[in-house]
Amino acid sequence: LVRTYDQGVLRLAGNLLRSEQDAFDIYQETFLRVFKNLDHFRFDCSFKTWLYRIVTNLCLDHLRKRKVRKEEPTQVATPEGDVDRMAIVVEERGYSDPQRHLISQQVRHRVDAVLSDLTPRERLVFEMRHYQGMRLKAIGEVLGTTEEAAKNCLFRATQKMRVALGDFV
Amino acid sequence: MSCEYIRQQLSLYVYGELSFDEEEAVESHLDGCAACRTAMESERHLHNLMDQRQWEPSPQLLIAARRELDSRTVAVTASRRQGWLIGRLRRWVGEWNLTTAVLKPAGALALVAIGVFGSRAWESRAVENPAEPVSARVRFLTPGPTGDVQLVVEETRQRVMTGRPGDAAIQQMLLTAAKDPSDPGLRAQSMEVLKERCDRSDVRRALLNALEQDPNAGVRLKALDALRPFAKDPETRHVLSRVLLHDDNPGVRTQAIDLLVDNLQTDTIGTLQELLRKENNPYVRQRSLKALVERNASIETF
Repeated sequence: LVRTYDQGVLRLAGNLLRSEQDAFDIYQETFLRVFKNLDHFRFDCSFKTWLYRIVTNLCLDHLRKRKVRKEEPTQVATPEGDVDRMAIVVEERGYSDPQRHLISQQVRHRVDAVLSDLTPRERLVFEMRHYQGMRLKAIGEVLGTTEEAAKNCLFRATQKMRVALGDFV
Repeated sequence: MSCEYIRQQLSLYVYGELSFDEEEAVESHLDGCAACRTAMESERHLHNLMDQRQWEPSPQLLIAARRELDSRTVAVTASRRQGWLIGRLRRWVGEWNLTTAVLKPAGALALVAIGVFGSRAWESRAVENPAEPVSARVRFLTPGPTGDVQLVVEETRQRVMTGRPGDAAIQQMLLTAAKDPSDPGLRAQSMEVLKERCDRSDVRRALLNALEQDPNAGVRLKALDALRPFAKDPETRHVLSRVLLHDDNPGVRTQAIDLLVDNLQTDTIGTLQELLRKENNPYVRQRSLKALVERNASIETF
């Protein structure tokens, strides 16, 4: 079961929290909770829904704490200005072509700026729909809300993206 | 329906989240409205831009997370087993009515000692004896006339193999690991080791297969990296061309175009022309366009 879902869990946590260390911690906490509470799983939803409910709750707590504490910024200072933490990880992976870097750097900065301004709930819905490819109905089940409410969150998130990326579209 | 209403629906339309009737309404409006069709193109472009910042966990991070989880679950299991043993012994002692003030602390101490040493003994048995089966499954069961039972058991056992990547047995195992469907981290590590043996045709074949067919983008990137020295090999170029046209991950396509264009040969021109018809990623488009212009080739297919 772990091997079936763990990559998705790590990807979701990493995309949401923008930190490899935090994604690593959430991964551990999620599967330990699953391991300890598997006896209590009531089969009133799919295992994946239950698992993602745990991940999203942990990430939501983390994001809320981060908002309150105003710490662990997703942007870090570099000689070239503020850069997203994960962008540094991506660059280290070897996409060193300066032309490509120039083209996508600005877009990435704007997307990151919008993501960090979204409410935690909008952020979760957007990440799960856009980057995880989950259907809104399933997202609603994970977040314990309706499909309509998830749709509204997604709508607001994409509106904010459209405004921020207007001159690139 | 008004253009304003349709434009509000475009994002959900691109996500495929409209109902059948809503989707029909949007499509019939788009058929007759050029301005909304343009808005639709912008919407798709916006989605492509947002794609650019998707983060994929590296195979190394996945491996580290799995290892840490394995060790933590072993610790949790051991403490559960210890707790269970203590509980059983307590009930047993309780039934004997030995609840005097002297026996209580002595009993507790004995229980803790049994629990601690018992669990240690159990753990060390699992770690130090690799010949113990990791899993077992009964395939056939035959009851005998005298009350005996005959079982046919399939067992999976672990063993440690050590050797150079070039040793035949090790290399065979690495090629098997490179195809293990359950563990992308292991596949990526195998690619890294096999990279040094790329001069062998069977290794190169395995890497080409992984580059074209592995479901994990991180593994495909590792395979591509290992194949760099063979960028002029015709078979490798064919696979790279197919990857460029069909891989859904922009990172993989970016590496593929870099490799093909840096070693540009005439057999790639057709691929680059076809690519321009469908590619959305700005970098890949630009590199393709630039290579065609430098070669004085047409930027369209006819």
